[in-house]
Amino acid sequence: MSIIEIRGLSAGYGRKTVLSNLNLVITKPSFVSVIGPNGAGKTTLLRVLAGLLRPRGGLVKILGVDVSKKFPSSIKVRLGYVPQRDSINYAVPVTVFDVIVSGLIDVCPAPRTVTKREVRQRACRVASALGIDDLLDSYFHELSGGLQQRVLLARALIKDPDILLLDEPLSNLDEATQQEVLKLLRHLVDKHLKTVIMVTHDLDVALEWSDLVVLISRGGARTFKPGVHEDVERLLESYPEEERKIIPSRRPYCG
Amino acid sequence: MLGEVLLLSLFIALTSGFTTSYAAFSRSEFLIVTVAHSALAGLSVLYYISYIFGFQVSSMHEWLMLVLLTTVVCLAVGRIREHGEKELISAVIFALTLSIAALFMALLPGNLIARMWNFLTGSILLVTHLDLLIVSVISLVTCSLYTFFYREFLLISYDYEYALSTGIPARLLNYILSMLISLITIVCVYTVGLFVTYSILMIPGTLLSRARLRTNSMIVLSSAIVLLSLLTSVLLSSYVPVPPSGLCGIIVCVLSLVPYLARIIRT
Repeated sequence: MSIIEIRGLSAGYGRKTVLSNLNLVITKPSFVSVIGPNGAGKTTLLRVLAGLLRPRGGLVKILGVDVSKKFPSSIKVRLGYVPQRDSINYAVPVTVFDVIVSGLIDVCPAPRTVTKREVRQRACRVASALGIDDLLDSYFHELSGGLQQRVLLARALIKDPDILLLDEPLSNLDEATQQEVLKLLRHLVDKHLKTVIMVTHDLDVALEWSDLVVLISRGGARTFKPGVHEDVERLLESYPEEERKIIPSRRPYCG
Repeated sequence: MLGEVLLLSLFIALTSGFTTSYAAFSRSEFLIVTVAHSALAGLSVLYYISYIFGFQVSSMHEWLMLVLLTTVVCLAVGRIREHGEKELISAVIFALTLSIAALFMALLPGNLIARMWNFLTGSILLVTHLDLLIVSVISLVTCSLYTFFYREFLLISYDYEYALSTGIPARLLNYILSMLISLITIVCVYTVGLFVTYSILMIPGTLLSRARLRTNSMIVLSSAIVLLSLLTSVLLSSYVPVPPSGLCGIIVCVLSLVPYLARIIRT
């Protein structure tokens, strides 16, 4: 059974088609980076996988279940989704604890089946893993961008999902924090057999940390294995010239 | 009489505490104004029809018209919200219904205009047993729903995108939340008047949400402010010859400003 299987996917908004005939298969727990130029459809792909956008055509299977027509709750509870931070309404005075435990809302919906103590323990555990356990009583909107990003990651992780869908989780993080988050994600894949699908603009990060890089371009997807020299060469050739120029390259990959 | 006023104030305070907080959280202040004006338009049309066809408008007619209008407005706003145009559609309905209200009120005879004026300034002292019964049922139902779906409503208010990605019926809950806010708005318009509705449903939530209070403390404090304002204004108006609605608006604003200013001074 594939973890993710996408065949001939087309998706879009209104009259605009963003993804067309996209194919992608992930067969084992992996760290997958989704890269591509602005507006290529990276977030659209993630929204389809998160059940936020219904495909117009094609087949989408998650953990062996066809979610193209109807996205069952049994699959949603196995996904951890971290949207971009601009979707958040900062007018609501919620604490870090409130945000983290909201990740359990579909695991233990009303009537409540998990005790408060258990919820607190789980929140503390995941917050501790992300180094934010001393911030549980702080207000979310008063944190820095980097800390907010960690809180959102903790919210996604608290329900122990099989698949993590992350939409630019490294934005607003300094390099040290980026490395910490990437190490944690890598750990989740290697030790806990999770699948991480991360949208990023950073080609260097994608090449350094991923098992698979998915380049979304002109509505379709091409996959590359970062460890394979020929694949890296092909990826760099495929990546649009104008986008490549703005990527701060830390390491030379070829030549 | 005093017991009924006290009971009504208690129900309104309880529900408006939740409503003002959730309206501020979900940025639905415009929905309150829109529903309030739609209620006014609906009532003016109802009274015009009764004037033309020569029948007496009862409390039940008024309540039915209000609930019908609320449902329509709320569904329209909720549907449009999905497309991110909540403010736009609210503004259009707001302008349209206010114009309709002004138009039909101008066509009414003097005695019916006086009745319509009651909906603007409020008449908590004129509450009937039927009104009290309807208000108590609506209040108990809405408070139960607000409490039961507290976490869900909070989540859809601060991160709707994430709520949609979870297994909870976020779209349905969003409609329910809008419906509850709208229902309480018409309850307030009917019992305490349009002017007081604005102050008790918009001011405490908007100001307290900026005062670094926890969400549940905010709901409790909002309810306390509304209760105190309603009772004080009724009490004061029996000594001073001024309408309780005006007093209530002033007291709500002053009491809500205290935590907000305290926060500004502290920081």
